[in-house]
Amino acid sequence: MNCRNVKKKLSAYQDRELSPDKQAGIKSHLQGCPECSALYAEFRHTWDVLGEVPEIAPAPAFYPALKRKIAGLNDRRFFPGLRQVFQFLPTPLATAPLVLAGLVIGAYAGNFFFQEGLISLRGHQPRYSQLDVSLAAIRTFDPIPPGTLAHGYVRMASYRGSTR
Amino acid sequence: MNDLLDETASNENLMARFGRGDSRAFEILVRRHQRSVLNFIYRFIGDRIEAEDLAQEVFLKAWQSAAAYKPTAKFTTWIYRIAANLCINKQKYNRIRRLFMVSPSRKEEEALGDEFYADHAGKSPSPEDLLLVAERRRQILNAIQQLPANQRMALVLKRYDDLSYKEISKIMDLSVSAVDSLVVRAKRNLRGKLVSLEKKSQGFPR
Repeated sequence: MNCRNVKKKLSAYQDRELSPDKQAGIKSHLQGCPECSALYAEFRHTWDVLGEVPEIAPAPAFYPALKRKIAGLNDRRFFPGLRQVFQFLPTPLATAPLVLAGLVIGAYAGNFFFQEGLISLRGHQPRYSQLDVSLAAIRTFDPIPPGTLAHGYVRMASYRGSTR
Repeated sequence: MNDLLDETASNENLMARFGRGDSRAFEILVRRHQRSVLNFIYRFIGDRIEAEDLAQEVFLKAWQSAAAYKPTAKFTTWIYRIAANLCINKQKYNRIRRLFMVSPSRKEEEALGDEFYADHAGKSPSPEDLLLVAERRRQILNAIQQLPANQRMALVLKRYDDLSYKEISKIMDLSVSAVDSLVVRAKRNLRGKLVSLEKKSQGFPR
């Protein structure tokens, strides 16, 4: 084993990640190579210094505090009985009913607004409401029977004067 | 008798029981792993208060995601993966905050000093020694914090949790060779920082 290869594998050697043969080969090389041995000593020193950071202990109230947070999650649900169901269903299956309900409500709401003319596919041109359509239909008069009062009014309205 | 059986049950067995609605199984899992999860996060994040909050979030997520746990995966890999993801998300959030990093709170220094006092019980270290040790440990933690997130995570999992590269690769969703590369680079990056730290603290109590 040459120094170049050993240096590349020195970290893995320190972490005991190499095969037994390679571990033995590097160990043997280190015993006879001051340069690689010094480099390995630096790796070990780094490891030792890192060990000075101690462990910290969890607070005694760690689990009680966690229980309170879990209870808080449960309280937010409208139907506590469904918690068990939603806990075990895969998330997509659990959210599918919500998405479906949203689509149905959206379709009804959209249809309502569309019919009432509150929204339109033609930009700012509102569609006529039912009442407007009825009034427009009235403007299309059927022929007025002569001799009736309505006929008289129509003749008056369309009179253009006798100056002609 | 049941308590004894509970305490010796495997993690995977306890998760299966929790999946069937046994909340006592979840409590055992939390008590069994809270220390290791907390310390993993603490060494990655570098702040004790944040680490405690995040550790709570890990177990909260585990509780919520119990249905997603597959018994084929090791429980420790699964819980560490949740912790790793939360740490990375927290890291992104803290990136801007770190620009305005202030010195650790008095509480943090006292915590680092308390462990020294416990280690040297009966030897009556002076207050100055306590502060110096706390400061040294803080500097070591800072040196770890300066590593890129991926290198830091691989290093912490290897050095403090003594996980194999293969286990680390599952947690970090990387190849084994990628983990090897990260650990090597982390060690090299730390080497220079810690050597200068060592020279500064020659003669200080450890």
